[in-house]
Amino acid sequence: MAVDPAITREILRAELDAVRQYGRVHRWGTIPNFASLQVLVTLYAHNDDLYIIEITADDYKEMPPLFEFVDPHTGERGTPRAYPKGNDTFFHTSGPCICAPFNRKAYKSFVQTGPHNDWTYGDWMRSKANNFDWSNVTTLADMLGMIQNRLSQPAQYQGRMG
Amino acid sequence: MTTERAITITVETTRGTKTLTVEKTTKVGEVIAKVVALCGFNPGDRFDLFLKADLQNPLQPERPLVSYHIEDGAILVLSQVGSGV
Repeated sequence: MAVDPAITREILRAELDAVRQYGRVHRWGTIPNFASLQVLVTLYAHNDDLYIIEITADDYKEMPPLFEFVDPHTGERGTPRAYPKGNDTFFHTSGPCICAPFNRKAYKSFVQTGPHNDWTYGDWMRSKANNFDWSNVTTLADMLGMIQNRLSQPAQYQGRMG
Repeated sequence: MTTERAITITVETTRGTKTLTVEKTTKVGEVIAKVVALCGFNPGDRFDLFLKADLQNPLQPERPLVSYHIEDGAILVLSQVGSGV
């Protein structure tokens, strides 16, 4: 069942307040497009590498949002160069994508390159995938905070994926 | 109330700004647990705590705040680690 865009829009407005507040610490920039239910977010790695994330949130929160990285130099979406590389599969080369239950692109039922055919949308806010309690990552600020955690630490961030 | 042994710290989280007063000898891990509870997160998952002035190096959970020279009024940042799946 689709979520009324007006409801999703209100959720986005409320959650973006938290994104802006927490984002001040990390120098995030946010550009919402409430008409299309999308948000562009800029983030920086510890060495000032710039990343751009496009969040598409139609049917949020019945379905998880879709996170896609955009190459800051070419504007290309979803290329390895647009993605960071970490020390585990959170930034996954399949797609590439953020491999987490909060990202629609990680679901094989949504995109062929999605690493997981064992996940279903309806479980995304209760998922215990990989023995991690993903119910702690159910707001946009939570999600972006987790991404930033991996960009901020030299021990985790290994530059661009491609 | 802040005393000689206690300090009031502010912690920025993805679920708002939390202020708490703790003993200087409180371990970082104990502060994390308090803030996680204040935020309504389920306990048990890994969180990092950073000094706002140093977001690259997480504070070690077993060390007391005083060992990082954290003073009254310090601003810290809570960050969720997550998992590669």
